[in-house]
Amino acid sequence: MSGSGWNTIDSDAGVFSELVERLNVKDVEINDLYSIDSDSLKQLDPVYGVIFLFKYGKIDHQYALDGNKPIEGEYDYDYPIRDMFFANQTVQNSCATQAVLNILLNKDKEIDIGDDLRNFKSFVNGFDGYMVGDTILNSDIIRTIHNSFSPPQSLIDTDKPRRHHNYTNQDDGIFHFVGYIHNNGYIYELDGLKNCPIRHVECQSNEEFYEKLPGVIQKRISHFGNELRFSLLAVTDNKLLRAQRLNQEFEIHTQLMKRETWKYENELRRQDYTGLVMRLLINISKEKNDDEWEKMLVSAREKTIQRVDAGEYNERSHYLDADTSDEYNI
Amino acid sequence: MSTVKSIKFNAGKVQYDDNTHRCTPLAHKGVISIKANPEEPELFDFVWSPKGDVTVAGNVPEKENLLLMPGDVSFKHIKSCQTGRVFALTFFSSGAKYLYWLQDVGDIDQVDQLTQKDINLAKSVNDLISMKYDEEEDDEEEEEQEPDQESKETGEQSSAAADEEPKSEDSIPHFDTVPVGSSRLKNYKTPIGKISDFITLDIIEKHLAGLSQDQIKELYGEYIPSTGGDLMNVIRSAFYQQCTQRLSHSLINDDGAGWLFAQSLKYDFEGEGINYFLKGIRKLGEQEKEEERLGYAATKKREEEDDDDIEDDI
Repeated sequence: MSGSGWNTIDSDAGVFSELVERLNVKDVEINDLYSIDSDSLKQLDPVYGVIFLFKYGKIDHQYALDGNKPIEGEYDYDYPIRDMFFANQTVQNSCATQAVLNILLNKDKEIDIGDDLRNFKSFVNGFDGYMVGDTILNSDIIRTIHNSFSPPQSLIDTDKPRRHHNYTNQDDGIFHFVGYIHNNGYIYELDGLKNCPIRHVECQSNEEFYEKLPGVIQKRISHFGNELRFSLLAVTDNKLLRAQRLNQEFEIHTQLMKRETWKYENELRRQDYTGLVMRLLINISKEKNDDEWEKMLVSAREKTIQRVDAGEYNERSHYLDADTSDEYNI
Repeated sequence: MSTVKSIKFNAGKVQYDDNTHRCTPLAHKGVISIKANPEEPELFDFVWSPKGDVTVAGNVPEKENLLLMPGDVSFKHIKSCQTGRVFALTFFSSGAKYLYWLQDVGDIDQVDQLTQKDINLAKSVNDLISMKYDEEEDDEEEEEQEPDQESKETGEQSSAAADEEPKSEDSIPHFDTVPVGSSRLKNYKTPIGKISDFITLDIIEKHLAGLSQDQIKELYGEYIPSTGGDLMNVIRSAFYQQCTQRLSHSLINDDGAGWLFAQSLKYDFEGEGINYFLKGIRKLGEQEKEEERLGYAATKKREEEDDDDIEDDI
């Protein structure tokens, strides 16, 4: 892993919450949104913005090639006049952090974004989206915090070039994060791969945001066809602090439990388990005689054969089942 | 034990076009023969050859010579092909796939339906090219007796299938018996695709259950979360699973990970892949065991010497 690279990080509420806390943003956390409806958003009030994670599919690629037009809504090229912040994504794997920053730095009137991000925002004032993106890319503090959520992978070369991606909807491929906020009387979509903020419907208040955002996202989802892999995260206030302020005992307990889980999972996330796999293998080997070891090998081979039979390793295996050649992925 | 096994049947080639992804059955009549390689009896020669006078007929597909390693190939019916009975011969190690269509008369109304004869044939081919691990040497005696009975059932099928082909000793079919010598198991091994298929959760759980809490702490302490919790929960978590996935992926992708492991763990590098990696691990385990035994013996000797000294002092 090169020192200047950006690692992929999990799209997880616990990861993003710790990320914003470590960026010194005050009283903000990220919560899972399990359904796209007004009630779910209202329950989490105040919601400063919503992060939408989806599989970057064929339609996204088609629109990107067609003048990078927005799939829904319209570009607002005058966003700098409206004092809006927008960063383009200029490096792979940074879109999660980019989406969070695009939301937070547009909400600095409502939330205390801390000195680091305030300085960053004033530094990039007047830059275009790509320059802002490059500045994020070169920000040691942001990259270090972003990368701290993945384990060090010293032994495995991840700099190897990836195979060409054809953006079909079938394969497991690239996922992308975009942010939604309301600002200057509209709902905006902040997608680092687009030219600038995309303006959707009129929206004057948080309540209106909760009412109208589900419709905007549903419309976007309707373009996915059969693709159902997406998730939503809400950028909200710190629910533990809120419960403590309101002295809600049960809620305090719930929030503490949630944070315990986040802490536990983030610790696991940072650990490289290669050493553990090795030690387990060596120690188990020491317990087994040659026959037992051979039996384990045979059983593993049989499982592999079952996987091959199920077509897991063979990208060509489904070609005879596909009548349309454009679905074929090699 | 006799290792003479062979199968012969009529089949045509199916051409696959990489660009259009179309499969085109070639009309030319042909015959497939699978028989033990004369030099390496554990391997099989798979030959597709065109029938008839190849010097006269135009556009005759080329003869195909393949070498099959039992356990590395599958022979499967392609059910999605509804205009004939197409089989795919797939090599696990390389992913290469060869397609053939059966040319013996099938069901006239449902051309994609396999006849009982086809089903028997597919089973025979698969039995021949697959490895049977469990039976090994225990079954050797039985196997030697079975062929006669088997050949009675299948001999008819074979002669019908490969109609005018001359019969030789080598082509006497006894499909359901597979010579499974231990040498084959040792020499020709299907690759292992995932480390988690080798040390399964079950195996790890049993290993940990045999250790005391102190031993677990001593052996795996650095992997127990500071927030507490059971090591088994860590191993069940997606984070550990992803790590083994990545590791397996690197090892099977032949990108030098096996060599790096051999260098850092200090075992002799023999090749890339999970099989060789596990071989190295096995050696390390043996080495550690030996060191522990010697260490224990040395300690014991020291203790005895100390005891002798004490006795001498007395």
